Order: sequence, then C-alpha cells, then structure tokens
Amino acid sequence: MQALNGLAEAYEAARRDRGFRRRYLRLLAEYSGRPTPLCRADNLGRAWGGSAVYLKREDLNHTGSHKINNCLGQALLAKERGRSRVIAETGAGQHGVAAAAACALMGLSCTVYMGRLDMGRQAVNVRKMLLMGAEVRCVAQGSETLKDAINEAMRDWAESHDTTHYMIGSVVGPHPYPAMVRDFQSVIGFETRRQFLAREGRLPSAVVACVGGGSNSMGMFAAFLRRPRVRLVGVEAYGRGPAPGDNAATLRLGSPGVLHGAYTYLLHDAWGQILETHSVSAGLDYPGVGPEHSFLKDSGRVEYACASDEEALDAFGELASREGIIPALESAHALAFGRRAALEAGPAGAIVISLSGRGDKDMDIAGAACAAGRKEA
Amino acid sequence: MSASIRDMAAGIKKRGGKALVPYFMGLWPDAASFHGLVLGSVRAGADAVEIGVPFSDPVADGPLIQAAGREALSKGAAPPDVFRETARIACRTDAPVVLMTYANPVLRMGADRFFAAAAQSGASGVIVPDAPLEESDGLRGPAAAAGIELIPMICRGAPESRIEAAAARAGAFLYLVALKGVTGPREGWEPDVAAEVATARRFSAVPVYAGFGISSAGQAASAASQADGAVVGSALIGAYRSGGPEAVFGLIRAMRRAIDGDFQCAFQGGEKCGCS
Repeated sequence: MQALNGLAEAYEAARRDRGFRRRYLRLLAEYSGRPTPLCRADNLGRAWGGSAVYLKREDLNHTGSHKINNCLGQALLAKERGRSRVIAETGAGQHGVAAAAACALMGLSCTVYMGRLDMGRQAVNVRKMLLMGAEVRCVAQGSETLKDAINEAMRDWAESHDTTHYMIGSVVGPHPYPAMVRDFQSVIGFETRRQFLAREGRLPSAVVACVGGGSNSMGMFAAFLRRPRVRLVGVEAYGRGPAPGDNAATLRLGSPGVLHGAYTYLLHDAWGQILETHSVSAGLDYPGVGPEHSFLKDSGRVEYACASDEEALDAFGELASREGIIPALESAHALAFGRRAALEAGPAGAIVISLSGRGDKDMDIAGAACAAGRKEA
Repeated sequence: MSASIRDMAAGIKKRGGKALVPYFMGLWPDAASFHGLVLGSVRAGADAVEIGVPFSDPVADGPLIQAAGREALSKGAAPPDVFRETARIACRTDAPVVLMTYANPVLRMGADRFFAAAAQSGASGVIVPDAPLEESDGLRGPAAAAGIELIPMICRGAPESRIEAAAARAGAFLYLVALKGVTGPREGWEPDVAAEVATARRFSAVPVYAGFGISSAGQAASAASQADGAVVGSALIGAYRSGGPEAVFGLIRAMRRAIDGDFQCAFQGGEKCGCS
C-alpha cells in the first residue's frame, strides 16, 4: 500500500504540473509521431451500407500501437521520481515493446514479464524487446498469459518498489493505475473528437473500440463520456464461444470480484477461482477488465459487445484487402463490431473505430488460422 | 476443540511466552496427509495453525505456496472442502485455527456466508492479504457478526499512522510482514522488525506476530524475540517435499527449541546464547 500511495501522490502532483505535461506532450509529438491521423475508410463505408467509417490510426504510433502513449507518460514519471528500474507485464507484447522503447529512450533498466504461451505466439515482439535492451522473463504458471505475467510483476514489485516503477500497461490493477493509464491514453479520444469535428462539423454517431484490459477504449471513450448522443461500444473477445475458458468476454459473461487489486467484473468459477481465458488475440486474453469499464457497463453509458475469433479474423482480412491496412487482431474485434454497427446505421451513420495497433505481429497467427479454415472447408 | 486465537494469543503473551504458528495449505498434499501435518505440528510444539484456502492467483505468495495451492486446486479443493477438513481437525486439537485466503473467494461466496462457514468449521480468525486496511471495512462487520477475528497485516517499513490503524483493528494479533516481498525462504537474511513492533506496542497491547521469509530455527527465534511470535509457511512445504512429514515436524521442534531457548536466555542476560 505504501508503494501505491506514494505513486498516487506523485502522479497527482505530475498531473497538475505544467512542466510535466509539456514534456509528456513533446514526447508524444516528437517520439511517437502524434497526432495520429483519423482516416476516412470509404471502401469499407461503401461495403458496409454507406456509413461514414473513420479509423483512428493508433497503429501509426511509434512501436505500432497505442501502448506507447502510456509508456512515455509512466517512464517520464518514473524518471522524475528517481526510479532507475522499470518492470512491466505484457500479453501480445505490444506493451512490452513500448515499455522497452520508452525505457531505452530515458535510460531506465527494463524487465518485462511475459507468459510462456504468449512468448511463443509473439516471438517477434520478444526479439524487439531484447534488441532494445530489456530483459524478458518467461512466466510458466497458470494459463501462461497476461494474468500470470501481472502476478509475477506484482510479486517483483512487492520486493523492489523502493527502486523500481511498475509500468502497468492497461487500465487495470490497483489505484492509481486505472485512472493514470486512462489519462495517458485519453489523448486518443481528445484527438479523435477534435479531428472528427474539424472534418465533419459534428460528433460521430458511434465510437467503437476493443476491450481486453481496456486501455485504448478507455482513452477513446474518455473524450465522449459527457456527450450522451455518441453511442460508445466496447468489444470483447468471444473467442471460440460462451463456455468457460473459451473466451475473454469478462463484462458480458463475468461477475464482480477482486483481482490484481481492483473490484471489477471477472471470469471466475463458483468459488472465485479465476478462469483461464482464450482469444485468438493475446492482447485481449485477460479474465478481468478495467474497473472503470465495469462502472460504465453498470451505469449503462457504454455498451459492451463481443466478437468471436472467426469474426475478428474475417475483419482482419477485410481491412487488409479493402483498405490496405493490416490491423492488430485486437483491433480487428472492434472492426468486426463496427461492421455490424455501420450496417445497422446505414448512410446516416458516422462511425469511428479505434485501430489500436498494427497487425505485423499477427501474420503467423492469421496465416495459420486461414490455412486451418481452408482445410476445414 | 480448538480454542479461540484471541484467547490463545493473549494467554501466551500474559505468561511471557512466544507463539509459533505454522501454515499449511488446505488439503495439501492430500486430505489425510494434511490432517497428519496439522495435528503432528501441534504435537511438535505449534501453538496455533494457519490453514490456506487455495486461490488461483495468490500474489502475496512465493513459488512454494503457489505450487501447493495449485496442486490443491487441481484436486478440486474448494472452500467448503477446506471448511469440512478444518472442522475434523478442530475437534481433535486445542490449538486455534486461523484461515488464510484472498479477497475473491471470500466475496464470491459472500462475506457473511464465508465467515459463518469458517466459524462453523472451528476457525476463529481469518487473514486476507489482498484486503488492505483501507479496503477491509466491508469484511470487518461480517467477520465480527460470525465471531471471527479479521487479522490485519502490515508490512515492514509501514509508516506509523498505518501501524497505528492496524494495531487498533487487531483483536487476536497483528500480522507483521517481516520483509518487503512475497512469502518464501531467503538466504542470509535476518528478520529486523524491532522498530515496527515498538511502534505497534505504543498504540496497542495486542500481540505482534512476524511472518514471511522465516525458514530456519534461527530466523524464527530472531523474529519471535523481537515480536510476540513467528509464522512459518513456505519452509514447511519445502521440508515436506524434501523429507516428508518427519522433516516438517523436525523443523517445527527445532524452531520451538530455538524460540524458547532464546527467550529464556534473553531473561537471563539479555544476550542471545546461540541455542538455535
């Protein structure tokens, strides 16, 4: 608790510090290349019933996803607090790569915990982290994915918090992380709102983003929560279906509980044991969800929907072939729902989809899935 | 029938003794061996026992307790099974029983039901390491209603205000985490909790037991001499894996001798006499 209280105070001070904000915004602009474009995807729009479809191109960030927004903020905070070492967990490896990059930039030592299963399916990201000087520790426990990597990082931090900053990659975990990560990611939503208004002279009718832990969606929604006419939809991974262990649809299929220091919806059994999850995308493979998403579900402000592995893979291929953009499989879940929303809305619709990351890392998985699909057919 | 942890802790402190509390994972390695370990450890000198209700994601635990919990879960050990076996143990010993688990199994059952079932099983205290002081008010009422002591934990290096708050909420004993980090043996490490114990004693007469990292007789004696007792968990699981139940009881007997010997020496001259 001392470590968390100390971090909460430091973050609160940094948030109010204009100098800190200026240094953070400069890093976003010069290092990550922000603002990222809001692209109108007319080929998709025509195929999807004539809606105006826009993509927020977080995939064009340095390191290939929105994760860098948060890592630059937390690395800056760690540096200014005099921490010399950073630890992080990663699922798909996107947060691990962004953490390794931010630490290399700022001269911080970096250790990334990653589940063994994820290290296998995201080997390229492991190599990138190593190249940028990070140490990658293999977690061979539980489901060997993101949840277990968080457990190990928390155990490390319990021992090391005097010298080490724990850089959580999503809006999960204990306070202040859900609020801090949301704030660092809210640049996605505020840029989108400004860009959309400039382009269309109105607000979008719907904004769609994928939800694993929920950082890109929370950052996107943050700018629209007080605009009640904008429909907000978070899309979870329905995996292979509704059976326990076959999906990561926490808000849809879970119930409230405590994991990793947060009271939030969880996928757990009748006795509170956390279930293993499945999603074709490693970044959505988490049995919890950010606590603010749980609040937004219960308050009814945000709708939470699902997309299956198959729907995500279809959307992955469709965006590539129609627009020449290869999305991360995580983002492909948002695209899959975006298609449904566009078809429902028709020509009056103006839909923004958060393209949270690029899909280079997923080429092998998508290729294998296509090959398997062909065999079945 | 198990005595109450509060009475036992107060009684030992009153007669100037020091407590030794071993931890075992519920139903590990199997139900019969678990019974033998708990009852045998009381015969070997334990004053009370702590029984783990396994949880899938025990972030406060190191590799030894994690593995024991995983094995118990893989055999289907759910809270009702642990309650049932605890009840069988509690009617065969005077030693108090304290359960240790994490917040989610408690909340999933419902705190009222969980604490009532714990009390029914003969346990008199519950420890929930991931429900810190600031967040445990919701558990305190249901625990009290069931007659269960919710045992607060604080870490070495905690600020005075937190130690005061924890001591004020402690009924049976205050659990002092003797190191920064998770459970498990540490080589070449000496418990150093005198400052936190002194702070707690300024605010409360409640006994302070130190746990986490205590794996040798010498560490147990050192922790108990600074505090009012020592809690030992991972080391016993390690001992069982390397030498079976006899190794567990041997370690408990050695800790008992070291704690009592040290305590008598302290009376005689204030110096440690190396009796560990």
